[in-house]
Amino acid sequence: MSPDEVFAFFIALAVGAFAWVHWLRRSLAVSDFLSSRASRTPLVLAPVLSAAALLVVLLFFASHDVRDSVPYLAFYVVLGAAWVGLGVGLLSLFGLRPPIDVAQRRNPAAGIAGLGAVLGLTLAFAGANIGDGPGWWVVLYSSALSTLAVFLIWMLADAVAGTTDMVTIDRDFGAGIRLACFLIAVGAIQGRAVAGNWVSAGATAADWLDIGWPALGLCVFEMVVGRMHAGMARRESPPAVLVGVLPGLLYLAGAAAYSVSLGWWS
Amino acid sequence: MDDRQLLFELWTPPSARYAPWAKPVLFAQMATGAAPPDSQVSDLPVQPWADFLEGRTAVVLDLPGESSVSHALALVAHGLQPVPLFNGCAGPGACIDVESIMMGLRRGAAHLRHSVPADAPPAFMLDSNRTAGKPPPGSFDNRWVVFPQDFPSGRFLLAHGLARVLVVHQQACKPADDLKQVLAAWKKSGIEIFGVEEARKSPAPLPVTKPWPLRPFAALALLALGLRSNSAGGFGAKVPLPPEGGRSGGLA
Repeated sequence: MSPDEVFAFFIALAVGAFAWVHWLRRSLAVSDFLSSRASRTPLVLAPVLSAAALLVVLLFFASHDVRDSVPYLAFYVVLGAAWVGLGVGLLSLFGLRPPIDVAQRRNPAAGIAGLGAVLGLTLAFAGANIGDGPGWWVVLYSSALSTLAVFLIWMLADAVAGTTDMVTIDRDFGAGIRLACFLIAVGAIQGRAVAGNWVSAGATAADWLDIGWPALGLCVFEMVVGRMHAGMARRESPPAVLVGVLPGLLYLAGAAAYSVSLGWWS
Repeated sequence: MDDRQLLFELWTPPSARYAPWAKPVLFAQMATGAAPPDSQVSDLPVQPWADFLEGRTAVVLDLPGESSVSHALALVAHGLQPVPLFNGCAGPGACIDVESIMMGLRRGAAHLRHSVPADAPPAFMLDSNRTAGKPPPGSFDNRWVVFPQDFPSGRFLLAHGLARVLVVHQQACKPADDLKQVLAAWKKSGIEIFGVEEARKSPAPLPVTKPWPLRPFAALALLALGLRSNSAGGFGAKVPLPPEGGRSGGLA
């Protein structure tokens, strides 16, 4: 590894460790009197699944010099932990603070949504690791595009549907499942949009716009479903299968089908 | 069952509709063996405004700590379910007195053996002193705030037949900024907000204007207010002492 990579590794290690130790401490140090240990499972699973998902993408789809090198695999996993950790720090801008919401407010819907947010951000970062490139900085550049898109699309959908409020204030489990699937699907599309061999910053941005825009379709769908859900919730609490699982599976299936239809990256 | 758990469940039985919102922070800090005393609380406050409730009103008791507890106990007779939302921890040299609240919760538990129906309207208990003062270095800063996430949504209240909220204050009805956020969200949902001073008879509509958007920037706001989270839950941590300045050396 070159000196700049070693430097970036240690910076990422410090940022990632700070972010995830903070997350886990907030999740686990809280007295058992406030919430059960079992209810905090999604909070513990989030960093584990995030690292595992990123490792799988790196092992199968990263550049061959990364795939074949344990130090490089470790480097990009640590870089991902830092990136996703920073992203998790921004969740409170949406009113979502999974460790507080779950461990202190006993809100299981926020745990599922938080897990989805972590996985969505992970996929947005993982896509930037797919293909050949000159170095770690192009991974950060591509990740910045995909992660920014995830947050903007979430913000757009939330402005109309108010789904995050339904999760954190209404504690609606169906909304939690749907928001989790929405963020995973958007993260997957954005990750796919920045995947591929590096040509230039401009070409990457052009590809990202060209391939990533269908996530706006999910956004519009979520606006409609979220408004319908809010309308139904005024009368009675609708079943989580109807307002959470079914649309959530549609989001995931849509993102998977779209990614498959694109074929291999170039 | 742990005595503290027993006390907590006396205050807010798990079957109560609003139990998920109750905060066990102070109960968790009580000494074990804190079983409810047999003696009942005899000096409950007079509530001249109680006729206003009529079964479709949620109450927010924004009163100084122990007063909030005694008013909640008095509201049990009117069929309301107390929901403690106290979220500041106890600690040595604490800037907010929570010991008296803990004592009140212990003493009041005996009064709660006659439970209210599970679907009873809620009486949310706050300490109006929750953000009072600025703690000096070395003290235990247990100031705290509430967020909309700490209360049921307006949609939830309306869906369960509660179309208005009564905020009870000690004196002038001026909710703090954190509570304004909650009231503004409720008002936006279509709930009528009323306010009353604890000794007055007639509640009046409470004008609620939305303050600076605390919720979306919750973490930043906490930093700005200088509040300190407690790792075990709730708020409360020692304010660090400033580093001592260097002294020039020399022989005494």
